[in-house]
Amino acid sequence: MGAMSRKAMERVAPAGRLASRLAGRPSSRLLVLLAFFLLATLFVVREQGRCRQEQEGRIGIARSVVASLGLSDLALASEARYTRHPLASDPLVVGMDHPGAVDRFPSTLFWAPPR
Amino acid sequence: MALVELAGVGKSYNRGAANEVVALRRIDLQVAAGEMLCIQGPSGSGKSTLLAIIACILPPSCGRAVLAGHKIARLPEHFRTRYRRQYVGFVFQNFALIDHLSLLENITLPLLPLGLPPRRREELAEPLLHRFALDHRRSFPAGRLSGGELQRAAIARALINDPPLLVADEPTAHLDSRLTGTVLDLLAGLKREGKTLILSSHDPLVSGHPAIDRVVTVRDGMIVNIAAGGG
Amino acid sequence: MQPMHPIHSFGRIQNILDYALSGLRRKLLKNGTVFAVFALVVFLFASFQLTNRALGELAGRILAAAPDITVQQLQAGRQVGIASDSRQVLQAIFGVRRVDERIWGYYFEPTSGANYTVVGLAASAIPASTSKENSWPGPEAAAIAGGDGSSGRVLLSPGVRRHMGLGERQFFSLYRPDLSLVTFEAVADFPPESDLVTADTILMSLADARDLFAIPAGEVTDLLVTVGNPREIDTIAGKIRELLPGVRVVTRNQILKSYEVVFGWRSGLGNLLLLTALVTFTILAWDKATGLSAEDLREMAILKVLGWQTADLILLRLFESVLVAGGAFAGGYLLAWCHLLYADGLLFRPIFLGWSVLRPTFPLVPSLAGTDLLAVLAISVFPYLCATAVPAWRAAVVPADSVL
Ligand SMILES: Nc1ncnc2c1ncn2[C@@H]1O[C@H](COP(=O)(O)OP(=O)(O)OP(=O)(O)O)[C@@H](O)[C@H]1O
Ligand SMILES: [Mg+2]
Repeated sequence: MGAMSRKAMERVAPAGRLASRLAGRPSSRLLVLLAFFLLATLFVVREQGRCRQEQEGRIGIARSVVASLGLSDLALASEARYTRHPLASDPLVVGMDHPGAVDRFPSTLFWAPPR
Repeated sequence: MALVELAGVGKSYNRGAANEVVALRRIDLQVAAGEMLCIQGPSGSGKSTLLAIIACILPPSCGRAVLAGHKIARLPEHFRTRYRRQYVGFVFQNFALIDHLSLLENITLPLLPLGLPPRRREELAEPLLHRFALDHRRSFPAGRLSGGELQRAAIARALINDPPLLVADEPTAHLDSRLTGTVLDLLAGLKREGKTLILSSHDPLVSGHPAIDRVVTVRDGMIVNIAAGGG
Repeated sequence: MQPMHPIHSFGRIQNILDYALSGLRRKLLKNGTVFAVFALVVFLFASFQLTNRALGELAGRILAAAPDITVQQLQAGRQVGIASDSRQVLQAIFGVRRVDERIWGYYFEPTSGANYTVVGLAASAIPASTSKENSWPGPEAAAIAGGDGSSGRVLLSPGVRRHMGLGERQFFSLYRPDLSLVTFEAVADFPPESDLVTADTILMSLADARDLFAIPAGEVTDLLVTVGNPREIDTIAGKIRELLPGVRVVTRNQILKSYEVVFGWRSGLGNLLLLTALVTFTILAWDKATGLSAEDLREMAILKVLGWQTADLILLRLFESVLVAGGAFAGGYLLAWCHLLYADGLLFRPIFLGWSVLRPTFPLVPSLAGTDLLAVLAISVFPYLCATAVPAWRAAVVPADSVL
């Protein structure tokens, strides 16, 4: 069935022979897929390079803010000492960083505090 | 020179185990090139085992076996496969086509590990399809072929490598007498082209066919009689 | 005698690959399921790792500018105000370039549950504006410093402004501890680029912060030490500990390390969660990989009688598993990469950032690391290949006569 139609195609258009031959074998199709994948990879790697460059500028600004103001911590989860300012609390707070640990400011590790 | 030479060949399955089966004992047989041989005997007499040894599928447990000048009795599997590829076409008792592949794909299976491209494989299969009147069935999945078509396909597959020796295990077991005649005529045609054929059968229609040169009778793993055939 | 067909080795590989591909396609549902689950597991693990790495790298690079040494007073194990006079002691240490006072505290807004971070710096500590590109501050920073230090002018983050509902208005009030009001004028915003460190920050002069928190004169919360030669940081930190017993001395390295630990700890927890996914996957893969049907075995035996070598059959099975595993790995990793690049690690960000009212916004950029790739390979592709190796071998060594 497949062989027949391929034959018919070749009779009609000898120029399309290579194309039909390429399309016919599963391994060739895999190769095409691989080529697409490589292209996609190339594209996202370039995208990453672009974003990196953009980030470079942001980091530059953030760094000069950090340097100017003497900041020492990330403003990630700002509702508890042990998440916003590990520096300003005990060295062991990382271990206290537990959903069951209730602090004065009710920040929790992963989810909102119970109401 | 003989194409096949067996001397003192024996075969036991599950050697040393409690369920040891002695399938062949002290077989001496020579088959000349161009000959058409029929091996007959009751069920379980060891016909398939003998054919498998000749076709380099099974190693004999003892004895000497030579195929086309190569000693094959104690070869590792890799080399047996190599000689099988080169010299033997094998037709299974139960056809052993792969149901989900098309007829054409089934016939060209032996060519895949040789690295032939699809076009070349088709070229090689084309005359066989034509000869065995399978042209119109080439894209059918093997699972949907009739018994006669399956048998012809199995023979076509055995011939795709153009081997000098064709070994067919009960090639007519599943066929009615009319189809049996057709298949035997096809095989006789191959003999005329110079191929050596070794068939097994318990059908007198086969052993009586005029193209058969010799009829070997096997019983309980031993050759009990060698007679001239109808040819 | 008959010449043997020469073997075209490339053609052979291509043919076997073709055969493997059509075999995979025939059992599309089964193989597709394994592929999809496999890719999902790779995606989850890779996303997680890439998020972890991106965040860690970002933190490391930004905090590389953190103060060399921070000095804080401890009392009964808790942090209390440190005497401004200690400045003189620190200043006298050889190798210290400058010492700045800072008041750093929280202002909790109970109605919304948000927690602002108030940073008060002495006028002298606020750097002059620069004109360098990608640099801060601009001229607005100087505005917060008044004559005697108290100006009532502040800088705040766009997030705080939004959260307070200030809009275009400039004036807002905060409560002192005695519930009297102080009014501030927001003269400018922090640049959005620094959100990761300033999302919740209000910057004011030292005097204003002292007023707001009612901190006694002569006390600040910490002293920031700038060291001339970065290699001397540890030595000088040691000296400070000797000179001012009872203080806590934190070096920049310790800060960076503490973030590594925070992210590491969180990533460990996340990995634990992902382990469940892995176990499920392993069971599935094992089931698929080791389940060698009688039909498969028959097919292998037929191929063998037809002249396929054991090596050909092994190659066939190898292609099958490598195609599934390799494809799923490549696809999953690519997807994870895009997840970070275009969605900023949406899925796992919360795990790393925790819950918060004031959220910093910042993009994450994935970075490729050999160790990450290896780790994902080791937990996905490698076990799969191992699981498939045994049945592949069993299929390949099937005795040829088993179909007779
Ligand atoms: N793999 C095996 N393991 C154990 N015994 C076997 C095996 N294959 C064949 N046998 C036994 O060896 C003997 C010969 O078997 P074989 O298949 O060669 O007989 P046969 O003449 O071809 O019979 P049939 O006409 O039924 O095909 C039988 O007794 C059979 O049971
Ligand atoms: Mg038999």
